[in-house]
Amino acid sequence: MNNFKKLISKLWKSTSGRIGLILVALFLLLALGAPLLSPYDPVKQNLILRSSPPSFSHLFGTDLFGRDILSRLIYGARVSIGIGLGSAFLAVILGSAVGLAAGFLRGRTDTVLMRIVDLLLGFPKFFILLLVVGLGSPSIWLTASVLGALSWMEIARVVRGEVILIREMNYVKAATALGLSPMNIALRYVLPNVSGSIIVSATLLIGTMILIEASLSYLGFGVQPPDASWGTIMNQGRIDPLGTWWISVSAGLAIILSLIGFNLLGDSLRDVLDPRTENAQS
Amino acid sequence: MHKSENEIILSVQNLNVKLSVGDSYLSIIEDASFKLRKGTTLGLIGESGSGKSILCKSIINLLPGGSRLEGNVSFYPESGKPEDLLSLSEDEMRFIRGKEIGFLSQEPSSSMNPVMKCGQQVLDALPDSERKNTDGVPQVLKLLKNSGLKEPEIVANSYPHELSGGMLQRVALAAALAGRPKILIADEPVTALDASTRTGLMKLLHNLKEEIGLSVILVSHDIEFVSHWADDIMVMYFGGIVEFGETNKILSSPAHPYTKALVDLSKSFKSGSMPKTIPGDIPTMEVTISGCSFHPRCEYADDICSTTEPKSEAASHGGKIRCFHPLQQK
Repeated sequence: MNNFKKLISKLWKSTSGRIGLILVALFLLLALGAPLLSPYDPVKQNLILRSSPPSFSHLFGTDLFGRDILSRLIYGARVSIGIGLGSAFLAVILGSAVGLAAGFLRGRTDTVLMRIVDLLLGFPKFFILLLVVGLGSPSIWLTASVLGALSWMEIARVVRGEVILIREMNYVKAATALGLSPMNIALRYVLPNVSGSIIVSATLLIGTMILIEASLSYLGFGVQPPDASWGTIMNQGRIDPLGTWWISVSAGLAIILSLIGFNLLGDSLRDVLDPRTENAQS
Repeated sequence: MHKSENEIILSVQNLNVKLSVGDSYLSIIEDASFKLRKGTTLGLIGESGSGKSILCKSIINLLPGGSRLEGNVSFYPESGKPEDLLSLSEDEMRFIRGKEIGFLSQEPSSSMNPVMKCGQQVLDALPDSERKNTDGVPQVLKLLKNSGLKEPEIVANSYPHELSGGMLQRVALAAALAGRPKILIADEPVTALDASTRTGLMKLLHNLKEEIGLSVILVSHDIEFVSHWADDIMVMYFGGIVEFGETNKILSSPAHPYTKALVDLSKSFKSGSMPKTIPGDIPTMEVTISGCSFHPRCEYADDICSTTEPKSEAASHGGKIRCFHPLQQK
């Protein structure tokens, strides 16, 4: 807990770290506290107020069915950020496992695993996503799983590179000389020492995941009504982009701000967690 | 001299070590043979790059993958048949490492996992049988205390970066001894420490050795330091053991010109006279030297030295020597 506090205070020192922390905290708060924070019921239609522009009673206006867009965005944060976190989590588990195995065992295991990674990276991710999500029945779970399952390769590469460095460290040799099992060494002496890089790549990945999910939902392949992610909401502005500009703009704003938040946080985490840049920071 | 001191606990015969470099192999250790007597300290001396560390690491196979080891390394356990360490699989070797043969490396600050508390790292080294009835904590505290740490509880709860180099080396020693090894390989254990800490740690190691009957291989580049703690001395040059024998005999009448140069150097430091350096440089491992590897720097070298490699032979001081022109006893 003490370490967590130290990390936050280090992040707070840089402007980008501060902005990242505030934005990410804000979106997490919105997602968690949606029922308390949203001014209206996000699915309640009000046909008298259809497509009304921003006003004091509806800060971001209403959509084609007269639903309050602010409330829909706040509930949408649950879906968008939830999918971002969930898919990034899955990617971290898969990527770390593959990267650790490849980097620690080296040899043939390494070659085979990394060629698989190269192969998967060569596939156009977005079209596979469209295909898989389009063939199945689209849902939050399916979208998050497919996103995660197609995005672990970069993490595997980062983890493998770090593991190759760490396994040559004296303390890993010393642990070997003490007779510890390779599994024990890999999980308790190597993996914790690459956790910094994993956290950084994961944070950056969350932003990317939110963006890809928004694109999918915008095209109608992602989350389906009554659930709504930011992409789904943005989709409604597509029908009359100039007449109902506030729909796309406010949804776009939510996506952009969350992306900036996660990317700034990720970059600052890299600066803080990487021992090689520690001196540059302080 | 105790009777047990003539018992052999580790015997290395004709050990050759080759490391893979790119597509080819580089010969690092050539035809090394020595014996470690039970309960004694064997000092291993050589300049940096002479292959001391590689020789030590090859005993418990800590060398990088792709290394080739030939020859025979026999470990004599307290009961049962001797084990040929080179023929063991990686899995079998795990039960030798830490449990029969401990290893203490030279860099205390980098040899501890930075994100794990020191106590946990010692605990990791405890054999499972030691943890059966307790969670192992009392054993860890006892080990730390025996390693000369006055506040074992505080040390056990500290991360490595919170401790000094001397304290860390004591923690590393506690971990190395946690599996109750019979042999401890100490690869320049005090080189990175300052002088006052050095003596303290060596005294501790010496006392522990007497108490638990440990046999020690002590590696150093400093002949004077080693001669203070070792019963036997073995001198390495360019991957070969050039001389081996009892410490006092080697010091009083070194037979190999290289050993003599080292002894003279340390003597002249003591007496304050101008030290006479060994002419020439230490060759790097990439070079091949025909004949005796020391001949380009040796003042006694003649034709045979540059063409034929000397074999290990009995020396007049009772040990072994690899030289065509061993120096006469004074």
